[in-house]
Amino acid sequence: MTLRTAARSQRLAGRQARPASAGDRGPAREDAARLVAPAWGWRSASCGRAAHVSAPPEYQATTNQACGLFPFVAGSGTPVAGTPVGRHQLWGEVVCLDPIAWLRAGLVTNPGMFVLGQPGTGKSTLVKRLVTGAVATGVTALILGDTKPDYARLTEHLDGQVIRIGRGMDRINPLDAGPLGEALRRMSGPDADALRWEVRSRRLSLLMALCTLVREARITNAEEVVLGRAIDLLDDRLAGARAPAVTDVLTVIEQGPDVLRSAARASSQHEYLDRVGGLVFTLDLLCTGSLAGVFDGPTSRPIDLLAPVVSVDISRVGAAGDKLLTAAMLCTWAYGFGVADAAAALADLRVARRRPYLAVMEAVASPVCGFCMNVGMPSRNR
Amino acid sequence: MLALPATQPVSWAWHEAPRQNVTADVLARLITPGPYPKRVSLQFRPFPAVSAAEEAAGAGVCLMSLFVTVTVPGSDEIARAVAWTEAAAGSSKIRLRRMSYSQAAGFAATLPCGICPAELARRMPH
Repeated sequence: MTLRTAARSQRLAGRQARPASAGDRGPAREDAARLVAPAWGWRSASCGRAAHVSAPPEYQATTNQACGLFPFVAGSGTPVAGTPVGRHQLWGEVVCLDPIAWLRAGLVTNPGMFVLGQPGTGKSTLVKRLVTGAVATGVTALILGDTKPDYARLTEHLDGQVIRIGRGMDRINPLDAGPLGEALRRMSGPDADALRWEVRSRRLSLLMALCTLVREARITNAEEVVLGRAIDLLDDRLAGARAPAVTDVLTVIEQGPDVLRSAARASSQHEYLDRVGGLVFTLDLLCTGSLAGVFDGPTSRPIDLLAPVVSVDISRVGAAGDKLLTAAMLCTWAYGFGVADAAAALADLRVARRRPYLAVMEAVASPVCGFCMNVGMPSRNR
Repeated sequence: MLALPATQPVSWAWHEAPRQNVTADVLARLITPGPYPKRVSLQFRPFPAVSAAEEAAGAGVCLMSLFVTVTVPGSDEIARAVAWTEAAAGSSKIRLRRMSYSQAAGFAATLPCGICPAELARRMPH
Protein backbone atom coordinates (compact mmCIF):
# COMPACT_ATOMS: atom_id res chain seq x y z
CA MET A 1 0.00 0.00 0.00
CA THR A 2 2.71 2.43 1.01
CA LEU A 3 4.80 1.64 -2.05
CA ARG A 4 1.96 2.24 -4.42
CA THR A 5 1.06 5.48 -2.73
CA ALA A 6 4.64 6.60 -2.97
CA ALA A 7 4.77 5.68 -6.65
CA ARG A 8 1.65 7.67 -7.25
CA SER A 9 2.87 10.75 -5.46
CA GLN A 10 6.05 10.49 -7.51
CA ARG A 11 3.98 10.38 -10.69
CA LEU A 12 2.01 13.36 -9.51
CA ALA A 13 5.16 15.20 -8.56
CA GLY A 14 6.51 14.51 -12.04
CA ARG A 15 3.36 15.93 -13.52
CA GLN A 16 3.69 19.01 -11.41
CA ALA A 17 7.28 19.49 -12.46
CA ARG A 18 6.06 20.01 -16.03
CA PRO A 19 7.02 23.53 -17.15
CA ALA A 20 4.07 25.76 -16.50
CA SER A 21 3.45 29.05 -18.23
CA ALA A 22 2.28 32.09 -16.30
CA GLY A 23 -1.32 31.65 -17.38
CA ASP A 24 -1.33 27.97 -16.38
CA ARG A 25 -2.15 28.61 -12.75
CA GLY A 26 -5.49 26.79 -12.62
CA PRO A 27 -4.36 23.22 -13.46
CA ALA A 28 -1.18 23.65 -11.40
CA ARG A 29 -3.24 24.43 -8.33
CA GLU A 30 -5.43 21.45 -9.09
CA ASP A 31 -2.33 19.24 -9.27
CA ALA A 32 -1.06 20.62 -6.00
CA ALA A 33 -4.38 19.75 -4.40
CA ARG A 34 -3.99 16.21 -5.66
CA LEU A 35 -0.66 15.85 -3.90
CA VAL A 36 -2.47 16.01 -0.57
CA ALA A 37 -4.68 12.95 -0.28
CA PRO A 38 -8.36 13.47 0.53
CA ALA A 39 -9.45 12.37 3.98
CA TRP A 40 -10.28 8.80 2.93
CA GLY A 41 -7.46 8.46 0.42
CA TRP A 42 -7.24 8.90 -3.33
CA ARG A 43 -10.27 7.74 -5.20
CA SER A 44 -8.48 5.29 -7.40
CA ALA A 45 -7.64 1.59 -7.50
CA SER A 46 -4.70 0.46 -5.34
CA CYS A 47 -4.26 3.85 -3.73
CA GLY A 48 -5.04 2.76 -0.20
CA ARG A 49 -8.44 4.37 -0.06
CA ALA A 50 -10.46 3.41 3.00
CA ALA A 51 -13.53 1.39 2.00
CA HIS A 52 -15.38 2.50 5.10
CA VAL A 53 -14.69 4.36 8.31
CA SER A 54 -17.11 3.52 11.08
CA ALA A 55 -17.50 6.07 13.83
CA PRO A 56 -16.16 4.65 17.08
CA PRO A 57 -18.13 5.14 20.28
CA GLU A 58 -16.91 8.30 21.98
CA TYR A 59 -17.36 9.08 25.65
CA GLN A 60 -17.76 12.60 26.78
CA ALA A 61 -15.79 13.31 29.91
CA THR A 62 -14.21 16.16 31.73
CA THR A 63 -10.45 16.05 32.08
CA ASN A 64 -11.01 15.37 35.79
CA GLN A 65 -12.57 12.02 34.84
CA ALA A 66 -10.72 11.18 31.62
CA CYS A 67 -7.37 11.11 33.38
CA GLY A 68 -8.64 8.07 35.29
CA LEU A 69 -7.82 5.92 32.27
CA PHE A 70 -4.13 6.63 32.69
CA PRO A 71 -2.20 5.13 29.76
CA PHE A 72 1.31 5.16 31.20
CA VAL A 73 0.91 2.40 33.75
CA ALA A 74 2.97 -0.28 32.02
CA GLY A 75 6.61 -0.16 31.07
CA SER A 76 7.32 0.09 27.41
CA GLY A 77 8.25 -3.11 25.65
CA THR A 78 11.77 -4.46 25.49
CA PRO A 79 13.92 -2.31 23.21
CA VAL A 80 14.27 -3.59 19.67
CA ALA A 81 18.03 -3.09 19.57
CA GLY A 82 20.07 -6.06 18.47
CA THR A 83 19.50 -9.65 17.45
CA PRO A 84 16.18 -11.27 18.40
CA VAL A 85 17.13 -14.01 20.85
CA GLY A 86 13.83 -15.26 22.21
CA ARG A 87 10.68 -14.37 24.06
CA HIS A 88 10.24 -12.60 27.37
CA GLN A 89 9.67 -15.08 30.19
CA LEU A 90 6.73 -13.11 31.60
CA TRP A 91 5.15 -11.17 28.75
CA GLY A 92 6.08 -13.37 25.80
CA GLU A 93 7.25 -10.48 23.66
CA VAL A 94 10.39 -10.63 21.53
CA VAL A 95 13.66 -9.84 23.32
CA CYS A 96 16.67 -8.52 21.41
CA LEU A 97 20.28 -8.67 22.50
CA ASP A 98 23.49 -7.43 20.96
CA PRO A 99 26.17 -5.87 23.15
CA ILE A 100 27.32 -3.41 20.49
CA ALA A 101 23.77 -2.42 19.49
CA TRP A 102 22.93 -2.00 23.18
CA LEU A 103 25.99 0.18 23.65
CA ARG A 104 25.00 2.33 20.67
CA ALA A 105 21.44 2.61 21.94
CA GLY A 106 22.79 3.76 25.31
CA LEU A 107 21.31 0.79 27.18
CA VAL A 108 24.68 -0.27 28.58
CA THR A 109 27.91 1.59 29.18
CA ASN A 110 30.24 -1.37 28.60
CA PRO A 111 29.85 -3.97 25.87
CA GLY A 112 31.50 -6.81 27.80
CA MET A 113 29.34 -9.87 28.29
CA PHE A 114 29.62 -13.10 30.25
CA VAL A 115 27.53 -16.16 29.47
CA LEU A 116 27.27 -18.67 32.27
CA GLY A 117 25.26 -21.85 32.34
CA GLN A 118 25.25 -25.55 33.05
CA PRO A 119 26.51 -27.91 30.35
CA GLY A 120 24.09 -28.44 27.52
CA THR A 121 21.84 -25.50 28.29
CA GLY A 122 22.67 -23.60 25.11
CA LYS A 123 25.51 -21.22 25.93
CA SER A 124 27.27 -21.66 22.63
CA THR A 125 23.98 -21.76 20.72
CA LEU A 126 23.16 -18.33 22.14
CA VAL A 127 26.61 -17.00 21.30
CA LYS A 128 26.34 -18.42 17.78
CA ARG A 129 23.09 -16.55 17.30
CA LEU A 130 24.62 -13.33 18.59
CA VAL A 131 27.57 -13.80 16.25
CA THR A 132 25.27 -14.38 13.28
CA GLY A 133 23.26 -11.26 14.08
CA ALA A 134 26.35 -9.14 14.71
CA VAL A 135 27.95 -10.22 11.43
CA ALA A 136 24.73 -9.32 9.62
CA THR A 137 25.05 -5.78 10.97
CA GLY A 138 28.64 -5.31 9.82
CA VAL A 139 30.53 -6.36 12.94
CA THR A 140 33.59 -8.58 12.57
CA ALA A 141 33.46 -11.56 14.90
CA LEU A 142 36.67 -13.09 16.22
CA ILE A 143 36.24 -16.54 17.78
CA LEU A 144 39.44 -16.69 19.79
CA GLY A 145 39.97 -20.27 20.78
CA ASP A 146 37.19 -22.63 19.82
CA THR A 147 37.78 -25.80 21.85
CA LYS A 148 34.97 -28.05 20.63
CA PRO A 149 34.92 -26.90 17.67
CA ASP A 150 31.52 -25.23 17.96
CA TYR A 151 31.96 -22.41 15.49
CA ALA A 152 33.74 -23.94 12.49
CA ARG A 153 30.58 -24.72 10.53
CA LEU A 154 28.98 -21.36 11.32
CA THR A 155 32.15 -19.56 10.25
CA GLU A 156 32.24 -21.44 6.96
CA HIS A 157 28.55 -20.74 6.45
CA LEU A 158 29.20 -17.01 6.91
CA ASP A 159 32.15 -17.11 4.44
CA GLY A 160 34.61 -16.53 7.25
CA GLN A 161 38.09 -17.83 7.86
CA VAL A 162 38.76 -20.91 10.01
CA ILE A 163 42.30 -21.26 11.34
CA ARG A 164 42.96 -24.74 12.71
CA ILE A 165 45.83 -24.76 15.18
CA GLY A 166 47.62 -28.03 15.85
CA ARG A 167 50.60 -30.16 14.99
CA GLY A 168 50.86 -30.57 11.23
CA MET A 169 48.13 -27.94 10.81
CA ASP A 170 48.21 -24.18 11.17
CA ARG A 171 50.83 -22.60 13.42
CA ILE A 172 50.80 -19.34 15.38
CA ASN A 173 54.06 -17.57 16.01
CA PRO A 174 53.81 -15.90 19.43
CA LEU A 175 56.36 -13.30 18.32
CA ASP A 176 54.39 -12.38 15.22
CA ALA A 177 52.98 -8.89 15.61
CA GLY A 178 50.38 -9.86 13.01
CA PRO A 179 48.58 -6.98 11.33
CA LEU A 180 50.07 -4.62 13.94
CA GLY A 181 53.40 -5.05 12.14
CA GLU A 182 51.69 -4.11 8.89
CA ALA A 183 50.21 -1.01 10.56
CA LEU A 184 53.61 -0.14 11.97
CA ARG A 185 55.21 -0.15 8.52
CA ARG A 186 52.77 2.52 7.35
CA MET A 187 53.25 4.78 10.35
CA SER A 188 55.90 7.28 11.33
CA GLY A 189 56.66 9.76 14.10
CA PRO A 190 55.70 9.49 17.76
CA ASP A 191 52.63 7.36 16.97
CA ALA A 192 54.85 4.73 15.37
CA ASP A 193 57.20 4.77 18.37
CA ALA A 194 54.30 4.33 20.77
CA LEU A 195 52.95 1.44 18.73
CA ARG A 196 56.41 -0.12 18.44
CA TRP A 197 56.74 -0.18 22.24
CA GLU A 198 53.27 -1.59 22.52
CA VAL A 199 54.11 -4.39 20.08
CA ARG A 200 57.33 -5.13 21.93
CA SER A 201 55.66 -5.39 25.31
CA ARG A 202 52.91 -7.59 23.92
CA ARG A 203 55.35 -10.04 22.38
CA LEU A 204 57.50 -10.09 25.47
CA SER A 205 54.64 -10.69 27.86
CA LEU A 206 53.24 -13.43 25.62
CA LEU A 207 56.61 -15.16 25.36
CA MET A 208 57.05 -14.92 29.13
CA ALA A 209 53.59 -16.35 29.68
CA LEU A 210 54.45 -19.33 27.48
CA CYS A 211 57.76 -19.82 29.26
CA THR A 212 56.10 -19.66 32.66
CA LEU A 213 53.60 -22.22 31.45
CA VAL A 214 56.18 -24.83 30.37
CA ARG A 215 58.46 -24.15 33.34
CA GLU A 216 55.63 -24.19 35.88
CA ALA A 217 57.55 -21.54 37.81
CA ARG A 218 58.23 -17.85 37.47
CA ILE A 219 60.70 -16.37 35.01
CA THR A 220 63.40 -14.41 36.87
CA ASN A 221 64.03 -10.73 36.28
CA ALA A 222 67.43 -11.45 34.74
CA GLU A 223 65.84 -13.86 32.27
CA GLU A 224 63.19 -11.30 31.39
CA VAL A 225 65.85 -8.69 30.63
CA VAL A 226 67.72 -11.16 28.41
CA LEU A 227 64.54 -12.20 26.58
CA GLY A 228 63.64 -8.58 25.89
CA ARG A 229 67.12 -7.75 24.62
CA ALA A 230 67.17 -10.89 22.47
CA ILE A 231 63.91 -9.90 20.77
CA ASP A 232 65.24 -6.38 20.11
CA LEU A 233 68.44 -7.83 18.69
CA LEU A 234 66.52 -10.18 16.39
CA ASP A 235 64.32 -7.31 15.21
CA ASP A 236 67.43 -5.33 14.29
CA ARG A 237 68.98 -8.30 12.48
CA LEU A 238 65.86 -9.28 10.55
CA ALA A 239 64.98 -5.62 9.88
CA GLY A 240 61.29 -6.40 9.28
CA ALA A 241 61.97 -9.07 6.65
CA ARG A 242 60.06 -11.55 8.76
CA ALA A 243 58.94 -11.94 12.35
CA PRO A 244 61.40 -13.71 14.67
CA ALA A 245 60.39 -17.18 15.86
CA VAL A 246 60.95 -18.84 19.22
CA THR A 247 63.72 -20.97 17.69
CA ASP A 248 65.54 -17.77 16.64
CA VAL A 249 65.36 -16.50 20.21
CA LEU A 250 66.75 -19.78 21.47
CA THR A 251 69.63 -19.70 18.95
CA VAL A 252 70.62 -16.14 19.71
CA ILE A 253 70.55 -16.68 23.47
CA GLU A 254 72.72 -19.79 23.09
CA GLN A 255 75.19 -17.90 20.91
CA GLY A 256 75.44 -15.24 23.61
CA PRO A 257 76.55 -12.17 21.66
CA ASP A 258 78.08 -9.26 23.58
CA VAL A 259 74.82 -7.30 23.73
CA LEU A 260 73.11 -10.12 25.58
CA ARG A 261 76.09 -10.79 27.77
CA SER A 262 76.17 -7.18 28.93
CA ALA A 263 72.41 -7.23 29.40
CA ALA A 264 72.86 -10.25 31.67
CA ARG A 265 75.58 -8.28 33.58
CA ALA A 266 77.87 -11.27 33.05
CA SER A 267 81.64 -10.70 33.00
CA SER A 268 82.48 -14.09 31.52
CA GLN A 269 80.94 -16.67 29.20
CA HIS A 270 80.67 -19.00 32.19
CA GLU A 271 78.71 -16.48 34.22
CA TYR A 272 76.44 -15.76 31.22
CA LEU A 273 75.60 -19.45 30.78
CA ASP A 274 74.90 -19.63 34.46
CA ARG A 275 72.32 -16.83 34.14
CA VAL A 276 70.54 -18.07 31.02
CA GLY A 277 70.96 -21.83 31.45
CA GLY A 278 67.43 -22.29 32.80
CA LEU A 279 65.97 -20.04 30.13
CA VAL A 280 67.62 -22.03 27.34
CA PHE A 281 66.00 -25.22 28.54
CA THR A 282 62.64 -23.52 28.93
CA LEU A 283 62.78 -22.19 25.37
CA ASP A 284 64.01 -25.54 24.13
CA LEU A 285 61.06 -27.24 25.77
CA LEU A 286 58.75 -24.77 24.02
CA CYS A 287 60.19 -25.90 20.69
CA THR A 288 60.73 -29.60 21.30
CA GLY A 289 58.55 -30.61 24.26
CA SER A 290 54.83 -31.31 24.29
CA LEU A 291 54.24 -27.98 22.57
CA ALA A 292 56.51 -28.78 19.60
CA GLY A 293 55.20 -28.02 16.14
CA VAL A 294 52.60 -25.46 17.23
CA PHE A 295 54.39 -22.28 18.30
CA ASP A 296 57.93 -22.77 17.04
CA GLY A 297 57.67 -21.56 13.45
CA PRO A 298 56.31 -18.66 11.45
CA THR A 299 52.55 -18.09 11.43
CA SER A 300 51.29 -20.34 8.63
CA ARG A 301 47.94 -18.70 8.01
CA PRO A 302 47.62 -15.02 8.92
CA ILE A 303 44.24 -13.68 9.98
CA ASP A 304 42.27 -12.29 7.05
CA LEU A 305 41.42 -8.72 8.05
CA LEU A 306 38.53 -8.57 5.58
CA ALA A 307 36.80 -11.79 6.65
CA PRO A 308 33.45 -11.24 8.39
CA VAL A 309 34.23 -13.98 10.94
CA VAL A 310 37.55 -15.47 11.96
CA SER A 311 37.44 -18.62 14.03
CA VAL A 312 40.62 -20.00 15.58
CA ASP A 313 39.94 -23.68 16.16
CA ILE A 314 42.17 -25.06 18.90
CA SER A 315 40.25 -28.30 19.42
CA ARG A 316 43.11 -30.45 18.07
CA VAL A 317 45.43 -28.87 20.59
CA GLY A 318 43.05 -29.61 23.43
CA ALA A 319 43.40 -33.35 22.84
CA ALA A 320 47.12 -32.99 23.59
CA GLY A 321 46.58 -31.72 27.12
CA ASP A 322 45.65 -28.73 29.22
CA LYS A 323 49.06 -27.09 29.06
CA LEU A 324 49.07 -26.95 25.30
CA LEU A 325 45.44 -25.76 25.29
CA THR A 326 46.25 -22.92 27.67
CA ALA A 327 49.24 -21.93 25.57
CA ALA A 328 47.13 -21.98 22.41
CA MET A 329 44.50 -19.78 24.05
CA LEU A 330 47.10 -17.28 25.25
CA CYS A 331 48.54 -16.96 21.76
CA THR A 332 45.13 -16.81 20.12
CA TRP A 333 43.89 -14.07 22.42
CA ALA A 334 47.05 -12.02 22.03
CA TYR A 335 46.92 -12.43 18.26
CA GLY A 336 43.21 -11.59 18.10
CA PHE A 337 43.51 -8.42 20.16
CA GLY A 338 46.48 -7.49 18.02
CA VAL A 339 44.15 -7.70 15.02
CA ALA A 340 41.55 -5.40 16.60
CA ASP A 341 44.21 -2.88 17.64
CA ALA A 342 45.85 -3.01 14.23
CA ALA A 343 42.52 -2.37 12.54
CA ALA A 344 42.02 0.67 14.79
CA ALA A 345 45.52 1.94 13.98
CA LEU A 346 44.94 1.47 10.24
CA ALA A 347 41.58 3.23 10.50
CA ASP A 348 43.31 6.16 12.23
CA LEU A 349 45.60 6.34 9.20
CA ARG A 350 42.52 6.27 6.99
CA VAL A 351 43.79 3.26 5.04
CA ALA A 352 41.02 0.99 6.31
CA ARG A 353 37.42 1.32 7.33
CA ARG A 354 36.81 1.47 11.08
CA ARG A 355 34.89 -1.59 12.09
CA PRO A 356 33.66 -2.86 15.41
CA TYR A 357 34.91 -6.23 16.62
CA LEU A 358 33.19 -8.84 18.69
CA ALA A 359 35.57 -11.26 20.35
CA VAL A 360 34.30 -14.58 21.68
CA MET A 361 36.57 -16.20 24.20
CA GLU A 362 35.96 -19.48 25.90
CA ALA A 363 37.03 -20.16 29.46
CA VAL A 364 39.56 -22.94 29.85
CA ALA A 365 37.96 -26.16 31.15
CA SER A 366 37.14 -24.65 34.51
CA PRO A 367 34.61 -25.74 37.11
CA VAL A 368 32.48 -22.76 36.15
CA CYS A 369 31.92 -24.04 32.61
CA GLY A 370 31.59 -20.56 31.32
CA PHE A 371 31.81 -18.72 28.10
CA CYS A 372 33.54 -15.46 28.41
CA MET A 373 32.52 -13.11 25.73
CA ASN A 374 34.41 -9.91 25.58
CA VAL A 375 32.91 -7.69 23.03
CA GLY A 376 34.92 -4.77 22.02
CA MET A 377 35.06 -1.72 20.03
CA PRO A 378 38.78 -1.52 19.31
CA SER A 379 40.46 -0.68 22.56
CA ARG A 380 42.95 1.75 21.04
CA ASN A 381 41.38 5.14 20.94
CA ARG A 382 43.88 7.35 19.24
CA MET B 1 16.54 -10.32 0.77
CA LEU B 2 14.80 -11.25 3.97
CA ALA B 3 11.44 -12.92 3.36
CA LEU B 4 8.99 -11.57 5.89
CA PRO B 5 5.96 -13.67 6.80
CA ALA B 6 2.61 -12.26 5.70
CA THR B 7 1.49 -10.43 8.82
CA GLN B 8 -2.14 -9.92 9.59
CA PRO B 9 -3.52 -7.16 11.79
CA VAL B 10 -6.85 -7.11 13.64
CA SER B 11 -8.23 -3.82 14.95
CA TRP B 12 -10.84 -2.97 17.53
CA ALA B 13 -12.48 0.15 18.88
CA TRP B 14 -13.84 0.18 22.37
CA HIS B 15 -17.51 -0.60 22.76
CA GLU B 16 -17.83 0.18 26.40
CA ALA B 17 -15.63 2.05 28.85
CA PRO B 18 -15.33 0.69 32.40
CA ARG B 19 -18.75 0.79 34.05
CA GLN B 20 -17.51 0.69 37.61
CA ASN B 21 -15.17 2.83 39.65
CA VAL B 22 -11.64 2.05 38.60
CA THR B 23 -8.15 2.75 39.85
CA ALA B 24 -5.49 4.55 37.85
CA ASP B 25 -3.79 1.29 36.82
CA VAL B 26 -6.90 -0.22 35.23
CA LEU B 27 -5.40 -0.09 31.73
CA ALA B 28 -2.25 -1.94 32.78
CA ARG B 29 -3.44 -5.37 31.64
CA LEU B 30 -4.44 -4.09 28.23
CA ILE B 31 -1.31 -2.03 27.69
CA THR B 32 1.37 -4.42 29.01
CA PRO B 33 3.38 -6.02 26.16
CA GLY B 34 2.51 -9.60 25.36
CA PRO B 35 3.26 -12.42 22.94
CA TYR B 36 1.72 -10.58 20.00
CA PRO B 37 2.77 -7.12 18.86
CA LYS B 38 -0.01 -4.79 19.88
CA ARG B 39 -0.74 -1.11 19.80
CA VAL B 40 -3.30 0.75 21.89
CA SER B 41 -4.22 4.33 21.18
CA LEU B 42 -6.40 6.59 23.31
CA GLN B 43 -7.75 9.56 21.42
CA PHE B 44 -9.03 12.70 23.10
CA ARG B 45 -10.90 15.36 21.20
CA PRO B 46 -11.17 18.55 23.23
CA PHE B 47 -14.63 20.03 23.12
CA PRO B 48 -15.08 23.63 22.20
CA ALA B 49 -16.08 25.59 25.24
CA VAL B 50 -19.29 24.47 26.89
CA SER B 51 -20.57 25.98 30.05
CA ALA B 52 -20.28 23.10 32.42
CA ALA B 53 -19.93 23.53 36.10
CA GLU B 54 -16.70 21.58 36.18
CA GLU B 55 -15.32 23.54 33.32
CA ALA B 56 -15.91 26.66 35.29
CA ALA B 57 -13.78 25.01 37.98
CA GLY B 58 -10.88 24.66 35.53
CA ALA B 59 -11.46 21.27 33.86
CA GLY B 60 -11.70 20.76 30.10
CA VAL B 61 -14.28 18.63 28.37
CA CYS B 62 -13.31 16.08 25.77
CA LEU B 63 -14.54 13.16 23.73
CA MET B 64 -12.49 10.04 24.14
CA SER B 65 -12.17 6.84 22.15
CA LEU B 66 -9.83 3.88 22.29
CA PHE B 67 -8.38 1.63 19.55
CA VAL B 68 -6.42 -1.57 19.70
CA THR B 69 -4.54 -3.37 16.92
CA VAL B 70 -2.83 -6.72 17.29
CA THR B 71 -0.57 -8.10 14.59
CA VAL B 72 0.09 -11.80 14.02
CA PRO B 73 2.74 -13.34 11.78
CA GLY B 74 0.31 -15.63 9.93
CA SER B 75 -3.39 -16.40 9.75
CA ASP B 76 -3.00 -19.53 11.93
CA GLU B 77 -2.55 -17.49 15.06
CA ILE B 78 -5.33 -14.96 14.59
CA ALA B 79 -7.85 -16.76 16.79
CA ARG B 80 -5.38 -17.04 19.65
CA ALA B 81 -4.25 -13.42 19.34
CA VAL B 82 -7.87 -12.19 19.23
CA ALA B 83 -8.79 -14.20 22.31
CA TRP B 84 -5.71 -12.97 24.13
CA THR B 85 -6.36 -9.32 23.29
CA GLU B 86 -10.04 -9.44 24.19
CA ALA B 87 -9.23 -11.16 27.47
CA ALA B 88 -6.64 -8.49 28.24
CA ALA B 89 -9.22 -5.79 27.50
CA GLY B 90 -11.70 -7.62 29.73
CA SER B 91 -9.21 -7.52 32.60
CA SER B 92 -9.06 -3.78 32.08
CA LYS B 93 -12.88 -3.57 32.27
CA ILE B 94 -13.12 -2.52 28.65
CA ARG B 95 -15.27 -4.22 26.05
CA LEU B 96 -13.92 -4.18 22.52
CA ARG B 97 -15.76 -4.42 19.22
CA ARG B 98 -14.01 -5.38 16.04
CA MET B 99 -14.08 -2.60 13.49
CA SER B 100 -16.00 -4.46 10.81
CA TYR B 101 -15.34 -3.11 7.33
CA SER B 102 -13.14 -0.45 8.93
CA GLN B 103 -10.03 -2.49 9.63
CA ALA B 104 -7.86 -0.20 7.51
CA ALA B 105 -8.99 2.88 9.41
CA GLY B 106 -8.60 1.06 12.74
CA PHE B 107 -5.08 0.00 11.82
CA ALA B 108 -4.17 3.55 10.84
CA ALA B 109 -5.72 4.91 14.03
CA THR B 110 -3.24 2.93 16.13
CA LEU B 111 -0.24 4.26 14.21
CA PRO B 112 1.31 7.46 15.48
CA CYS B 113 0.28 9.39 12.36
CA GLY B 114 -2.70 11.41 13.47
CA ILE B 115 -5.60 9.44 12.01
CA CYS B 116 -8.82 10.07 13.91
CA PRO B 117 -11.67 7.76 12.77
CA ALA B 118 -14.23 9.76 14.74
CA GLU B 119 -13.34 12.81 12.71
CA LEU B 120 -13.03 10.89 9.42
CA ALA B 121 -16.44 9.24 9.79
CA ARG B 122 -18.00 12.70 9.78
CA ARG B 123 -16.18 13.56 6.58
CA MET B 124 -17.62 10.70 4.54
CA PRO B 125 -17.34 11.73 0.90
CA HIS B 126 -20.53 11.80 -1.13
